[in-house]
Amino acid sequence: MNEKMDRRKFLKYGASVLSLFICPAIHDGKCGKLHAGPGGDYAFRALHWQKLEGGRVRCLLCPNECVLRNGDRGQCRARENRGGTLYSIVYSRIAALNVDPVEKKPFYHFLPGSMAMSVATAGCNFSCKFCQNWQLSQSNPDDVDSEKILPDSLASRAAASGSRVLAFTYNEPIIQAEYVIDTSRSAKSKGIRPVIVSNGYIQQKAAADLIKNLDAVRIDLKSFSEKFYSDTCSGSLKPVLNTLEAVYKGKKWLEIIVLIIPTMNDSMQDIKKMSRWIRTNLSPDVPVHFTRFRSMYLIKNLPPTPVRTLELCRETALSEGLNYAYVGNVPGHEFENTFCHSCKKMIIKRSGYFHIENGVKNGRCPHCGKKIPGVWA
Amino acid sequence: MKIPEQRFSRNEVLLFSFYAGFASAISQVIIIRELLNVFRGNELIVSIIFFSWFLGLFLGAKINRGKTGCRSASLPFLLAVFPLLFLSSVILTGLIPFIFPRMPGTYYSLSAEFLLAGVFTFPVSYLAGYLYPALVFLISPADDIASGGRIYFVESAGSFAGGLAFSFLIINFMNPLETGAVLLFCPFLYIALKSGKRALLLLILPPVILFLWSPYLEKNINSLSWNKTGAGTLIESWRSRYQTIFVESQQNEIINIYGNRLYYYSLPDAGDMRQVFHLIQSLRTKKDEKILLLGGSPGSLPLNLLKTGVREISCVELDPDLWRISEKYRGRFYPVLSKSSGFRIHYEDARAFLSNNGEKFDIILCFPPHPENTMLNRLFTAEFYSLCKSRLNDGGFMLTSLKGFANIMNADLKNYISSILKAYKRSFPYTMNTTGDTVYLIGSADRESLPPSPEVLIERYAKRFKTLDFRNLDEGLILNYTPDELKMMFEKSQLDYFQKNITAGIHMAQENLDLNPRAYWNYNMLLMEEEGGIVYRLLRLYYLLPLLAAAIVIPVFFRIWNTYGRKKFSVAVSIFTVGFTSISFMLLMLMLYQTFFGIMFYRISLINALFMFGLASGSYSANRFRLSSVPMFAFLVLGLLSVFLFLESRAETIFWFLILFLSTVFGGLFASLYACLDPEDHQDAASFLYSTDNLGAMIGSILTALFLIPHFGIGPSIGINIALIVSAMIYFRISAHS
Repeated sequence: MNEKMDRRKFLKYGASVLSLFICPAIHDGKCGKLHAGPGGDYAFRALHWQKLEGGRVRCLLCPNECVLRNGDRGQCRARENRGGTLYSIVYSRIAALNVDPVEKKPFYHFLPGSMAMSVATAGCNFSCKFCQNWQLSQSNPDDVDSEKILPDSLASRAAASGSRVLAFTYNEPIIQAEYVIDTSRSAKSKGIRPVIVSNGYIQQKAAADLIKNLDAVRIDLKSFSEKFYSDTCSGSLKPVLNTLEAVYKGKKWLEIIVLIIPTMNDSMQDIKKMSRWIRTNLSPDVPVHFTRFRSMYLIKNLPPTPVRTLELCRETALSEGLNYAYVGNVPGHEFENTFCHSCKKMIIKRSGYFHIENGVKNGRCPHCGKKIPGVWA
Repeated sequence: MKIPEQRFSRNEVLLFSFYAGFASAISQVIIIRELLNVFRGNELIVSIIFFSWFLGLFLGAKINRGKTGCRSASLPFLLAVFPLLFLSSVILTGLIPFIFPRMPGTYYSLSAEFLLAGVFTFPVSYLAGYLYPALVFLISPADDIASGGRIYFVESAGSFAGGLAFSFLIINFMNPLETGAVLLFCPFLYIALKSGKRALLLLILPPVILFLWSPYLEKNINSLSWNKTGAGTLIESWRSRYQTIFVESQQNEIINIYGNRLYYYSLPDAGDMRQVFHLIQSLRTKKDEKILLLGGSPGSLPLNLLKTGVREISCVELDPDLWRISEKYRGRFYPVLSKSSGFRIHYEDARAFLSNNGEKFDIILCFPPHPENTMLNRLFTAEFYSLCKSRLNDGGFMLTSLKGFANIMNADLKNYISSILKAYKRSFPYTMNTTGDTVYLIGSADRESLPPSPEVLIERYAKRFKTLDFRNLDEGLILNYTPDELKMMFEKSQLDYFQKNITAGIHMAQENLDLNPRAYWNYNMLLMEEEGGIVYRLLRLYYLLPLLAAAIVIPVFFRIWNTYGRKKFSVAVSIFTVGFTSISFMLLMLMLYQTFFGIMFYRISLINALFMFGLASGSYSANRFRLSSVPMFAFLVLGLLSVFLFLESRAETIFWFLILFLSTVFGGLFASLYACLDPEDHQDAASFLYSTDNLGAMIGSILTALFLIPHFGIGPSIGINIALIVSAMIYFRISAHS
């Protein structure tokens, strides 16, 4: 015991002891092997994946196509390889549940004035730097307080709350596709209309399976630039456009929202291209909401979008032939209201998302009688 | 170009020391200010800057032990390198957004800020540390065992002079580049004169040119970096006493105003004020109110409130330059606010105004920025709310805002909101709150002055709304308005969630207090969590930082024990503890100054100057009177105990006295411990003592800001420092006797 410890030995022992404390601290669990335990309760055999050699699997739900070794989780944090089988670990794991007006989603042509039971789990297949719900979307499901609500039970709760709509929102519903599908079926059987509020980043086959169970889809079209998608969201534009086409062709009600962020996606050239694409590949009747950005998550030192920019976006969209373009997140703004595309008269008056005066009668304009695109009953 | 090998006279060496101290004090303060101009300004970054500063001093002193270090000939050139490094740091700091472009509206992550702060501070401090042993060596033939203390004294005196020069001259009349040019001019002039070669007089030209060119250069650096990250075009920037104000034009229609690059507000702003304007209207129960608005406001809110029958609005804004610039641009959209009848502006710190002004108000409005630093945290503490309550008339209410939530709250956000709500409720037991990304707290000491529920509030406003005359108001406030919009601020699901997650457990929350700034810490943890960096994960495990500190310190002391033996080891322990405590004390005092008296960045240099004066006088006295260390340890304990007196009294005089007294003791301890070493090789002894002192300071800065204050609060942190000093004193005494 009297042996003198030299510096080399001292540092070696010191580093070993220190690493015992440090390693758990710097492991974040994303795409990692830890955290398998707590997700166990919610594990549900996933759809859309394939087995690979060596116990690995490839997730085929979204275009990220994560290849996962045993114990790994996907980029979305919601799907995990357990012994060569892919599981959803957010099935029925509800982290947020609110009853919101459907206009808050926003849906302006889908059952206006109704309430939507809105639910979310944790995780997302994007990592947008301006995410309003980053505490859900950028979290590991194990780190968020959750309640287990099985599909039938959620549908019953929605009905009991007086909601006509069940909205999968706040975080990305695509990553919980299995739960959305099962719950939507149950909700429909109780007369509740299931909808998703999504980024549209999904593989085409998975999209077809998901969309057929829904009544409406609201897609966040974040920009019309691949660069914006890759730099700001860690995703890409093309699959989102494919999803938009799939929703439209699937004859589900579709609304698009574009959050306009100063200097980042407010180029009128892009808005023009986007509007033209919507008119050509979807329909001029698809409502597009240009909404106002306010500092959020990592983009917290930017002024709000000038209202004039939003008005210009709307003007550009209308000039490109779209019939229903809105200015959003500016309470009291004239273009929050709905104007008939034929006679141009106001048919729905809004002030924020709680005050709705709906003049649409049997899906028609009360002034000229023209059919107004949307789901009105 | 080399000065002939020669010995410098004693006076020349002292002059060099004075210059080194002078230049380093100014450099440190300016680099801190410039870094805080680019990064978020808070104590965490300040502590990292200090850490990097002392790391530089530690390594510089450690490496220059005499074998390979500078001795004499290169000294004037090294002194000239000093301002060159400083200028490079200042210019590169200004260009950070250009060199490392980031997405508009985003900050660098705190981890990146920590790293960059270290990188830009280190070169200057390394040189300062490197010079000290060399200067001691040069003076040692004349001063022998007093050499370490002598150079320490003269350097500290230089730092004192530098601090005074900054506080009273530079801050008012010179920008950092002009300051750098003046600092560069001095050694170049010396080299030119000393060499006796006329051609070398050309050396003074670059600083002169830089001095004349600096306003243009600074403007271009600002524009270059702004245009990389801003939302519009920079049209004006202004260095005020408290901050650098930037004005940006967006689409030629909107003016955005920033302070230290943090977005403050836009003009015109009526649309943005719509919700809060109607919330205030809905809460008003009478006419002719007197309103106190704490913190400058963009414009439309006070103007429109005055149009709705409010008798008087007093606005308190600390920075007259910010108000002047806002008024200039506000004039493009609104009538001049200062000339509106019923409007009064007070250029004063909000808390000082509340403490010193006996006037009472019916409504107090306060919408402070998030508590990223303790200066802002003081607008969210129980003490602040208590002051507000004391200025409210019976039946009055206070409305304030804080960061809210979208749909859920994580643990850090819950802790953050709970700590503020608990502080608020202590003064305002009857409280309502809104929900959303911004949460408004509405509080009163009187149950009758608030409606029993949000539903009643909205219903009451809907009835009253029809009778109100809003014709003269800004269109953005009233266009298509219906009181149903208030429902967006009081969503039932969200209120239920808030009740369940915050209000129900409020008794368990840690209250946000002046001396235990929970909201400041929780908010910074939240920021770090958003960024998801390694720093967050490290800080989450509270025991890791002390462990890492131990991992740095133990090998150093292990080596000292093996190399120098017990006597020097005990001196090392003592000087390490003194270094630790001195910077810990300094950081605690800076935080206390910010908390009690408001923004301190314009005072940081004066505090530094006094601290340096104390070090100088302490080291001088210890040398002159051969003071021994143990009594000085006792004085140190006494001084630290007196900090509790300051916590109680909050008297500014005691603050300045303590800075002076304790720094004198720190300086005295350094000199007396140097004498204890009884060195043969002065350069080696100076290197040993100076590096160990700075190692202590380095560890002290990081542990105080990131471990002691967050986990124990300010009072217990002082107690821990006292315990450390007492232990070091006992060990030193035992070692001396054995």
